[in-house]
This record gives sequence, structure tokens and C-alpha cells, in this order.
Amino acid sequence: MMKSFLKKLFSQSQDTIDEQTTEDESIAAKEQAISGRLQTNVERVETLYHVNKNIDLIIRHFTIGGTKKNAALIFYSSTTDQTVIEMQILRPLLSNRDKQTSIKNILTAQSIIPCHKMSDLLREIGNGNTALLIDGEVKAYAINTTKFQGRSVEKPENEVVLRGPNEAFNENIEASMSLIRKKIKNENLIFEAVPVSKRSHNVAYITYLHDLTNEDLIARIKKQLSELDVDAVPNTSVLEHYIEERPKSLFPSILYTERPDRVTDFIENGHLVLIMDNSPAALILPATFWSFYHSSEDNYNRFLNTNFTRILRLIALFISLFIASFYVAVTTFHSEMIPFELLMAIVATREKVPFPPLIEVFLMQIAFELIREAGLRVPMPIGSTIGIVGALILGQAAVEANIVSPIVVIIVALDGLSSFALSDMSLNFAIRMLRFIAILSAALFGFLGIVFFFIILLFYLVSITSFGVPYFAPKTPHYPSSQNTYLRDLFKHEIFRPGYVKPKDITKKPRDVHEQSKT
Amino acid sequence: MNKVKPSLGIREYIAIALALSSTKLTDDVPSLLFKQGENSSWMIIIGTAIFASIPIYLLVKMISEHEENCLFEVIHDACGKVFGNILLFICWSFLTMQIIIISATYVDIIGTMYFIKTPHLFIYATLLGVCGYAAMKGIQHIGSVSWLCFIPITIAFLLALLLTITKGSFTFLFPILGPGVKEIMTQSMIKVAIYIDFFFICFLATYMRHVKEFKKGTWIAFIVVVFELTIAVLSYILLFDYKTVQLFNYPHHEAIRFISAGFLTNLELFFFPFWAIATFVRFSVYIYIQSLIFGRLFRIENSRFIIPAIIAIVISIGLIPEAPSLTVFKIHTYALHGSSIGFILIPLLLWILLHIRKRVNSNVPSS
Amino acid sequence: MFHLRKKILFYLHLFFLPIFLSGCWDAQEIDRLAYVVALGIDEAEDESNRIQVTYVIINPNYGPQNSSQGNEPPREIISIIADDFISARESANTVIAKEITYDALSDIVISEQLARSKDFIRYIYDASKDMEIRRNTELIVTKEDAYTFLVDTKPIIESEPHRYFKLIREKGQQNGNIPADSQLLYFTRITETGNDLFLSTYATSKVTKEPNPDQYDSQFKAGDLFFKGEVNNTQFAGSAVFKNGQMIGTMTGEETHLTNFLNNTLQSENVVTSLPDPFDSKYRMSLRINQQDHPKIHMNLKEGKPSVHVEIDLLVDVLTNHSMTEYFRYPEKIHTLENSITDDLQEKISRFIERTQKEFEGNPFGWSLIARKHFLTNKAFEDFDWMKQYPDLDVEVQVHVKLGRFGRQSSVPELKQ
Repeated sequence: MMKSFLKKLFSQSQDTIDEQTTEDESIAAKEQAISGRLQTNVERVETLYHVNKNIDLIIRHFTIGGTKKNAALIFYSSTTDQTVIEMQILRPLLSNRDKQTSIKNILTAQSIIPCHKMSDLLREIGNGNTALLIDGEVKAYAINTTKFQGRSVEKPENEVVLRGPNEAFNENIEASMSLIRKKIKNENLIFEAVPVSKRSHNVAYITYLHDLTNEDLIARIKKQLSELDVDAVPNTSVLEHYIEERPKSLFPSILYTERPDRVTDFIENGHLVLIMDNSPAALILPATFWSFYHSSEDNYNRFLNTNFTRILRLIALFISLFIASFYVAVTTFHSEMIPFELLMAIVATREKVPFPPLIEVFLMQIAFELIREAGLRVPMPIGSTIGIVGALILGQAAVEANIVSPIVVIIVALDGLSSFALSDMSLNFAIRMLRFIAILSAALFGFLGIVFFFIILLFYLVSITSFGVPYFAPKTPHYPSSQNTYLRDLFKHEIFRPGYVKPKDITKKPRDVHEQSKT
Repeated sequence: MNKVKPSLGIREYIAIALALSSTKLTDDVPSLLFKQGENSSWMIIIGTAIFASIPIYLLVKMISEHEENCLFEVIHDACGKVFGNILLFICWSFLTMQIIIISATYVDIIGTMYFIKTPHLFIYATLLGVCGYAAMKGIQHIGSVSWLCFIPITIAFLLALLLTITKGSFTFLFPILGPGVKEIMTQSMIKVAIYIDFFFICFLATYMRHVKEFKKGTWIAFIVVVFELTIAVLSYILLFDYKTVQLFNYPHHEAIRFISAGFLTNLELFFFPFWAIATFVRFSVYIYIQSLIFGRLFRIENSRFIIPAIIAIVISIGLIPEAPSLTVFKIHTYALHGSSIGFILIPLLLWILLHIRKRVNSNVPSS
Repeated sequence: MFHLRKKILFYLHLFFLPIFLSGCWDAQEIDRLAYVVALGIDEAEDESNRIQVTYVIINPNYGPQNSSQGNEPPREIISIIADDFISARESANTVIAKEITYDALSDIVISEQLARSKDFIRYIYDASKDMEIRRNTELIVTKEDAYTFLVDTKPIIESEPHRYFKLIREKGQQNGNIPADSQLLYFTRITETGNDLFLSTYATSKVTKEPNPDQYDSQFKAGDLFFKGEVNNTQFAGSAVFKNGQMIGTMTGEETHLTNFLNNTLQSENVVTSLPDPFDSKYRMSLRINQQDHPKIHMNLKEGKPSVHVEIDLLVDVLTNHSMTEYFRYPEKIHTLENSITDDLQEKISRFIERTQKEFEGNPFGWSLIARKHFLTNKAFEDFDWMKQYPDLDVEVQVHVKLGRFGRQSSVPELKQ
């Protein structure tokens, strides 16, 4: 027994050693310079790419017309544009008659990058380019033939607006960049690539306006990104986990949006945006409470309409946070608060319910959360009906079975409805979870408990920051800004960029323009 | 963790000052006035304001003229190291006394008006526990919270006031001089400590971004507080008449129990949360300033870690009085009169000492 | 530093957790409470210096939406002898299953017998001790025992007692038959100042056996009105007069609304009354009186004999015209009518004021508040002693009548004799 155990142990270590050596070898192979012999280069590529297993790596040998040199094209059939390879690489090379000209003059492709190292070559092939290796040359050419498959630009699904543009980011970084460039036609807009993972070579693009965004902020993010020591960061949703300040907090500190117009709005105010390949959304930072409270439509609706919806949203925020706890507090502590006729109606229905209000509300809340989660996961055609079935049938049946009183159904429905009015998912989750704490504290000490809860929450909220920016800035602490907080001012009065991101230029438009508009 | 000195804007400062002073109208301070002031109590508020403006003026002047804008430094400059510390200790004990008395009052309000069966210890512990948590967050965050809550609290308060005044009758203000001019004057003198919070809040001057804002903020807050207290005391007289209001312990809570708005008949619990939030802000500021002075006095680098100890002391002393509604009220009267003397004398003393020092210093080189 | 914070948090938890677990002292679920909507207080019959407390407890299950429950009565009544109505709650709980609460208490009913006793003020002041009793609770004085009154009050249509009390009170206050300020706060406020009389609503559930021929519209108090029908016999009319916290008399509905005319914090509207017709003394005409403005009250308290001069502006609509007088054709008749109404009202008011001076020796109009304006200090006013001075005041009343509408059709046919 001992023997077999030792054997196992030994063999295991043997394996790891083997793996170690192969890994070392491959790293060494990658670091080699490209040799002058085509045969050697091709063999190296074949071993590195495990050609016998890798079905979509194609190596095409041929002889260049004119110079009569042997050459090979290496590319992934899945990530390249076949017609470009045929029309702009193969055909010119094969039909060439001139013996003297260089490769650059034969090829009609848009961009040709010379590579001297094997690792460069690998990276270019991975990016969807085609590598051209020529016998007798100590460099390879990477020719741009990229064509990744992906969906086209579509409508945003989570941040729907009635007025305003209807484009969303998609998983293609070129498209995302293009969508941003389309909106900010300024030479200062910069997409700075920073590698964020070691193994999968994911790259994040820091997007900002060079003459606007605070240098310290950019440097801080760059440092944070380059210090990441992870194998893979597939997209921005995961990136958010790595760079946010308080991963365990209920409250988000980075705004996640799929709308390019929202992104450009923030960029133009001096914020910084992270985009990545493979992610249909961008990260905006720093983000304050107000950026979660606002919706993307607020800039497009007319002045009064926006402010009306904002007030509505504020009410919704408080309703969804407090109405259930209010009910519990009133029914267990402060019955004198309700108008007497209503009180009698509630008492009459409560008399048949065996549970205390706390349990009653908890039951209904959990049922509602279940309906919500299930509605999200079930296949589309059933999804829309399950909400109705769940809410109506369950509520009705629960009342008739005397499990809950009818007013609880109203309260939970109102609660759910209000939480939908908060468009940002992160804030939405925070409120939904906090609600349970509020209910519990109300059940313990009534209104006093709710106030305890609220005060602690408020102190927590004002004390947290997002990349150095206080959560309630610019309301408190006060910063020069357009005071776009609870409500929005007329655009023509918005002359300041938010001061809390410390932009290089605080005024949105030259002073004299503002003076003119005043007179 | 990068350490930045906390900073207060003028809005936060005013909100803190108002939270400290205008919550007085909801506790037993108005009934302290009604005992002797009768239906002219509102005049006493104005009278005390006139007297109180002298020490406040001196304090603001001294602090803004001092290069560090810090009351600690002013005291040390004026009295020297040893006497400065003694004076600081006196201030500290005044503040501690005030915290103990007022917290006992508020616990009594909650215990007799809203949560009748809940033990006082529990209310005390949770109230000060939450305030201690808040105080430990630092003055900047207290300022932020008080500014965020300032507008809703003010609206709720104004609403209560409006409903009270519409139910009341102005004829109750007559005979206009109430207990007589002499009584009003003496009361105005000995009740000056109603505004003593403006002395304690001067310890925060060093955290202001600009000394100008401190100056402006103090005066704005002072005027608003005088206005609010006057209107509030007036409204109680208008609703209840002075004979009845003299019998009340907490007129504000009696008033909000009486008023109604349309179909909403029992309104007091709508006002309760706002009142409670203001109370929390008030005590967290008190506890913060107290720990600040204490830390300065005994050279404790990070004074916020003594807050739990302070709270424990306050609770254990605050729970001593028997029949709190009666005893605390009596103690509060004496404390108010006592601290009036301190409130007038300390700034005056500082000012005179500073002047003498200046004289002496300027005379030395010339002679 | 971070560790220290964690440690503090940990100890705070240790401290708070047991408290959190044991909390909820004041918690009381609404369906475990018995809501008292009206409270009756009588002198105990055994003369033991105790009181008999009657509770009207509402049944939340009564009502159309819960009709499946069968026919439960709208209320439960229990009467118990106790030292006071605070501790009576606990004793009553030996009978009533749920905890009795005063949260919904809107009316305190007092028997006239108790109200007239010297000790009444001691009992009623318990109300300002208990947090659940509000200062806007209405006081009602009943001719008979409060217990009998509450048991007999069984409205057929508005059968929920709190609703019935609220509606009938509102209607009565609107047409001036019962006093407008009959709440507990006003009782304590007026009693503590001791300068005016407090008026409380007067009610009964006993009907007089036969009609009184000399009694005109609203010249009655509860119990004087004769009526019959399939109705609940409870009546709210007139007021009980309290002086220094003790009941000293009653006033009719008419006197109650005259009080409103004379009180400068109130302004009566839509008071309907009747006066003799100046053109045919056989008939009376009905009038609707609206007070145009607060009464103008001028006092002279400084020199000579204290005197008061009151001016009242009234807008009078003539509702009936039984003498069939043709006002339209003879404008001088309108003048006669106006003078007659003025004289009648003036006499009525003067007689009423005389009654308050002679019988009650105090004023129910809140005039002490106007008198206060003439003094500089409280001491001076107390030395003047308004209550003592009032019976000797020279009161002069001047009524200004303005005729308003004469109805839809102002002309009448000429009657042939």
C-alpha cells in the first residue's frame, strides 16, 4: 500500500516535471528569432500550434512568381477573410513576373507588419492576420486579413430608451471603438491598450480625452490594470470584479453600460472608460450614486419630462426600500398611524392570517424574488407569461388560502414595480437586498429601527468612494459642477464639468458664450 | 490609506450648526423657557440671541484672525500651555455634562412619547451606539449626512409648524409683555446658554476650507436658529396658551400629536423619523467634538478610538437619575444657567488675554 | 488600524446581539388589539369615590366586505367599576380577550351627574397622563348615565359607532347646534386659565314624551325635541357649560350658535333659525344666517365701569314667507323686515349675554383673550380678575343685518281674505 502510494506520488511529480519542461521549451521556442530557412520556421510553427490537432490552422506552401522563392502562408481559417487572402496575397504573389521588387510592392493588402521574432508572429496570427514566411528572409510579414465572426451593432436590450440613439456595443472591439469615434470626432480621443491578462492576452482599452481627463486618474487606472496578475479576463464584466474598490460592498462603484452614447457623455465630462474585446458593455469610472440613479434617457427627454421621471425614480427608490418595512412597523408598533377605517379593514383581513406581519412580508417578498429570477431564466416564450401567472395566481391564491393578507400583496407588488423603475442593475440589486434588512429592523423596533437602519446606511454611503470620488459628490462634499443630481438643469445652464473628476478644463464652454446666453 | 484632512463646506457646516441648535425646539428647552417666560418666551429667545451674539462675535473674530483658524491654538495662545489645558478641560466637562443631560432627555422623550415599554437602557445604548458609529466616521461624513438630510428635515419641521400655527390663535400672545420686562431681561441673561452650541462648533473651524465660509456660515446659522426657535416657541404658545404649555414636558411632541392634516389624523409618527435623524446627527457631532477635545487634551493621536469609551461613560451616568422626566428636567435647568456663565465669560476672557498679550508683545521691542 | 476596527465591531456585536435578540417590547400586532372608540365615565353607584368606566369596542369584522362572517354586531360594550380609566383597561381584560387600546379613542362620554361633581376634574386629568389618549378627543356630556347612553346608541344605518359619532358631530358643528371646540385640549386650556367657560357637546338618548308648544327651531337642547319614527333616539344638541372644570349648566342649540356669533375666533355659516314675522305675528319666518365677518369687539377696561361693545355683521336669507308679504312691490316693507330682524336678534343676543352674566357668571365666548390685549403683563391681567369682572360688565350689542336672497321665487300671489 505504501508502495503504491509512493508510486503515485512519484509518478505525479514526474508528470508535473514533464509539463514543466514542455512549457519551458515552448517559451524558449517562442522567444527565438525567425530563421532564414523556411523549413525550420514552418516546423517550429507546426510544433507550437500542434498542427496535427489544430484543424483550423492552415499552412499553404507555394512559390512566388518572378523571384521563384519558396514561401508559406500561415493563418487561421476561422478568423481571416478568405477572399482577402486570395485576392490581395496569393494572386499578386503567384502572378508576379518582376524579379527585383520587394514583397511590399507586390502585395496589395492594406497593412503589412514585419515580424522578427517567433512570438510576434504568433500574436499576429492569433489576432487574425496572415503570416507570410519566405525562404531566405529572416523576417516574416503579418498581413492584415482579420475577420472575426460576431453580431452586428444591435439595439440595447437592458437600457431601453424611447428618445435618443438605439445602438449598443457588441462583442467586437472594432465596432465598439467605431461607435465611440463616431460620436466624438476629436483628435484627443485616445484608446490606450493595456494588457490585463497573462495567458489569454486580453487587452483592455482605456478610453479618454487627452486634454480633459485627469492625469492622476489615468495613471492610477493604468497602474491598477498592469498590476493585475491573472490568467484570463474575458470581458469587462469580469474586469469590474478585479478593479472595483469594494468587491464585498452592496453598492457598485463602476458604472456598467451597453450604450455608446452614455459612454461618450461621460467621456466628455472627463470620466474614463474601459472597453474590451468580447464584451458588449463598457465600464465608466469613477461612478457616483447619481450616475446609477440617472438613466440614459435623462439627456434626451425634455427638461420637465426628465425631472418628472427623476422625481418618480426617487420616490420609487424610497418605496422599494421602505414600503415593506413601513408596513411591518405600522402593523406591529404604530397602529394609530393608519386612518381608522383602513386600520379596521387591515385588522379584519389579518385576523385570519396565522403569521406575524414579518413572516407574511418575507414569504411574499421571497416569492416575488423567485418569480423575478425564474422569469429571467425561462425560455423567452414562457418568460413573459410566468410573471403574470406567478404574480396574479400566486397572490390571489395566497390571499384566499389565508396565508397572507391582501394588503401585503399590494405592498409587495408596489415594491417590485418600484424596483424596476431603477434602471441600473447593480443599484437595483443593492436596494432589493437592503430591503430585507430594513424589514428586519422594522420588525424589531418599528420606526426607530428603520431610522437606525437608514442612518447607518447613509453614513456608510457618504463614506465610500469610487476611485477617490465621494459617493454623493457633487451634492456633498460640494464640488463645482452642473449640479446634475436629484434633478437636471437646462442644458444651456450647464457650464461646468463635474469637478470631482478633476478635469483639466472645468468649463464646458467658453465663458463669453455663457455670458451671451445670459443676456 | 492616504490621509487627507477632513474638510467641511459651508453647506455642511450650516447643516451641522442647525442640527445642533434647532433640534432644541423639540426637547425640553422650550418648557424651560415657559416656566418663567410664560407667553413672552419668544422674546426671551430673541433677547438671549442679542446677548449671545457678543461671545459668538468674539469667538469668530479671534478664530478668523488667528493664522491657523483653530480654537485650540487660540486658547493656547491666550492662556499658555497649562491654563489653556485647564480651560480646555473645563470646556470638555461642560460638553460632557451637556451630552449626558441631553441624551437622557432624548431617551426620556422616546421612552415616554413613542416606545413606552422599551427599557431606557436599550434606547440609550442603540441611540448612542449608532451615533458613535457615525462619529467614528469623522466630521466630513457627519457633515455630508446632515446636509443630505437637511432639506427633508426642514420641510417636515416647517410643515409641522405650519399646521400648528393654523390651529392656534394669536390672541394667546397677549398680554404682550407676559411676566414683565424685568423678568424677560433676567431670563434672557441667564438662559444665554441656549446658544452654547455655537461655542462648541467653533472647534470645527479648523476643518473649514476657507475661514470666510466659517464666518459667514456661523452667522447664517445663528440667524436661522434664532428665527426657528422663535417661531417654534411662538407656535406652542399659539396652540396651547402659556398656562397649559407650562405643564408639558415636551411641547413639540404634544403639538405634533394634536395637529392633523385632512384625512391624516395622527401625524406624529410621520414627523418622528425626521426628528430621530436630526437627533442622531446632533449626538454624533457632540460625541465627535468631545472626542476631539479629549484627544487634544491628552495628546491622543487618533481620538476616534476613544469614542466607544465615551459612549459607555455617558450611558452609565445618564441612566443614574431616578424618574428621569422630573430629575433630568431640574438638572437641565441648573446646567443651562451654569453654562450660561461659561458661555459669556470664556470668550470674553480669551479676548482680553489675547489683547493683553498683544500689548505686551508689541511693547517689549519698543521699550 | 484595520484590525482594531474589526475588533471594535466584534465587541459591538457581542454587546448588541443579545439586545437585538430580545427586542420588540412595544411590538403589538394590530389584530391582537381591541380598539376602544368611545369611553363612558359615570359616578359609581356604590358611592365609593370610584367611577364606572364603559368601553365601546369596535368589531373590525363588521361590515359589508366581511358579510360572509354572519351577522356579528358592530360593537361590544363593557362597563366596569374602577379607580380611574387608565387602570380600568387591565381589569376589563379579564373579560375582553384582546389587549384594550385607546389608540382609536375619539369620544369621551361623561354623565351630567359626574360632570357636575367637584371631583370630575381629577378623573378627567388622567387623560393627559396616558400617551394613547389624544388631546383632540371630543368630550360629550350626556343627560343620563354614560353607560345608558352608549348602550342605547344603536344607529340603524351608520351602525359603526365611531363613524356615527363623527358624522353627527360634524353636522351639528356645521349648523351651530353644538359647540365647535369641545375637545379635551380646549377643556384643559380654558380650565387652566380660568377666565372663560368651556362648552362641551350635550347629548342624550332619551326622547321627550310629548311636543312642547312654546319651542321653536333650535331653541332646545338634547332631550327636549319631540320626534318619532324608526330611528335611533340619540340626539346631539346644545352644550354643557363648564366653569373651572365643573359643569354648571346647559345651553340650548340656539344659545350655542349665538355663542359662535360672539366668539371672534369662530365664524358661523348657514345657521338656520326662525323669528316672528313682522307683518303677521301668527307666523314665524325661517332665516338662514351667515356671519359676514368676525365680530368686532371693543373693550374699555381702563376708565370707569368696564364696558364692551360688540358689532356683528350678519347676512340673512329669508327662506319662508308665511304671511305672504309682497316685498317685491313695496320696498319699504323690506326696510321694516330688516329692522325687525335686527331688533329681534339684538334682543335675543342681549338676553343671552345677560343670562351668562347672571346665571353662569362667566363668558363662553373667549372674550378674555380680547381683554388680555388691554394689559401689558400677565400680573396686571390676573389682578384685574376677568372672571370676577364679567358679571358686572356693560355689554352693548349692535347687530348689522344685510338681507340676502329671498329664495327662488321672490313674489307671491295676493291672497284674498
